[in-house]
Parts: sequence; structure tokens; C-alpha cells
Amino acid sequence: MENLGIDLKLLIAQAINFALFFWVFKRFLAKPFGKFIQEEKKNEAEGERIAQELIKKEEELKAKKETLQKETKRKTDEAIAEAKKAAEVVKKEIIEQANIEAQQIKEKAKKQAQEMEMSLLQKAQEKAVELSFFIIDKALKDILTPDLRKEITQMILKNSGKKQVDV
Amino acid sequence: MKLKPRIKEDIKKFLIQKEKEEKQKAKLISSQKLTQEEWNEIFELFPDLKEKKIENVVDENLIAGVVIRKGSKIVDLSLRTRLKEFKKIAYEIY
Repeated sequence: MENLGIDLKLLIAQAINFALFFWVFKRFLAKPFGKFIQEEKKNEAEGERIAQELIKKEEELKAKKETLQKETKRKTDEAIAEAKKAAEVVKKEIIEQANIEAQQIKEKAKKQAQEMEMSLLQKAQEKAVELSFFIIDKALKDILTPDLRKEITQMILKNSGKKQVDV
Repeated sequence: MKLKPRIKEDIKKFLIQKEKEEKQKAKLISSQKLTQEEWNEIFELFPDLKEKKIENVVDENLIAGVVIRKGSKIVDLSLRTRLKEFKKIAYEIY
């Protein structure tokens, strides 16, 4: 062995040294490190699983969102259609009411015009009567001579006598 | 406000006197001065006027006829009033 350049003692010492090193390595480094790696692998797998789950959930949510959007759109369209229908009904009612009111206003105006016409006619007739009697009064005052006035006075007195006037 | 009995009595006497005086008076409004013949006709128509003190007023606006006022009573025999009555009827017709 010596001829081969191998020192047995040194070899044994190195073997013991290696064994010690191996034992220390295994005991204090390889085990926690392996554990750490296993933990990391596990975490990674868990992360992967969670990521997959999240992707799946995201897809589900996306699908749900689309469904909801479709549903919302359908409901919105329905609501708009209903609102349009209601607005149409209200519009119709408003137009009908406006027509009724317009008719009422028209009738009222017609009535007022008729009343005004009647009133004006009556006023005109009253004025005509007033004027006629004013003319008669004036004419009688101007035309009647004292003799005629006397005659009329006597006629009135005679006629009144027949009626038996009481003072 | 309370009046004294003496003042109350005085007012009463004054009003009675005034009423008596008014009863004795009469007012005759004519369209022109009346002739004796017309006066006679009026007295014939209203005999109680003979005993009254008559105040004659000429108002040409009456046109013809007479208006006699005695106290609160009025007898209107004027042509103007006849015309007014006729006017009222005309209004009623229209």
C-alpha cells in the first residue's frame, strides 16, 4: 500500500473524517434541506393547484358574468320595452286629456263668445231704446205747443179720474 | 246715549208739530202754469187738496201732466213718467 503511495492511517482518518462529515451533513444539512425542498415542492404544487383552481374559477366567473350580462341585457331590453309601452299609454292618455281639455276650452270660449254677443246685442238694444226715448222726449219737448201740453194734461187728468187716483 | 226726559218730550212735540204742518202742505208740479179750469179738475179729482196749502212749481221736463206730492205720498200724472213706464216695458220686451 505504501508502495502505491497510500497512507493507511491517513486513509482511515479521511474515511472517519468523511463519515463524520457525512453524518453531520445528513444530520444537520441534508435532512432540513430535503425537507425544505419537499416543502417547496409541496408549496409549488399547492400554488399550481390554487392557480389552476383560480383559472377555473375565473373561467366560471367569466361564464357567469357573460350569463349575467346576457340576463341583464334581456331584462333591460324587457324593461325598456315595458317602459316604452307604458310611455305610449301615458302619451295616449295625455293626448286624450289634452283633446278633452281643448274641446272644453273651445266650448267655453264659444259659450263666452255667445254670451258676449248676447250681452252686446242686449246693450245695443238698450241703447237703441234709450236713444229712441231720448229722441221722443226731446221731440215732444220741442214740438208740443203750450196748447197741446194743456190738452194732454187735461186728457191725463180725465183718464186718471176714471181710474180713481188716491192721494 | 241717554236723553233727558225733558229733551225727549221737546223732540216729540217738535216732530208732532212738524208732521201736522207737513200734513197741511202739498206740492203740485206741473209742466206749465195751470189755468183755473185745470185747478178745478185737479180739486175735483183730489178733493182733500182744497184744504191744503199748495205750492205750485213749474217744471217743463214733465212735458205734460202734473205731479202731486203730499207728505210721503206722490201721485205722478206726468207724460214724462208715462214715457218712462213705456221705456221699462220696451226694455222688458227686449
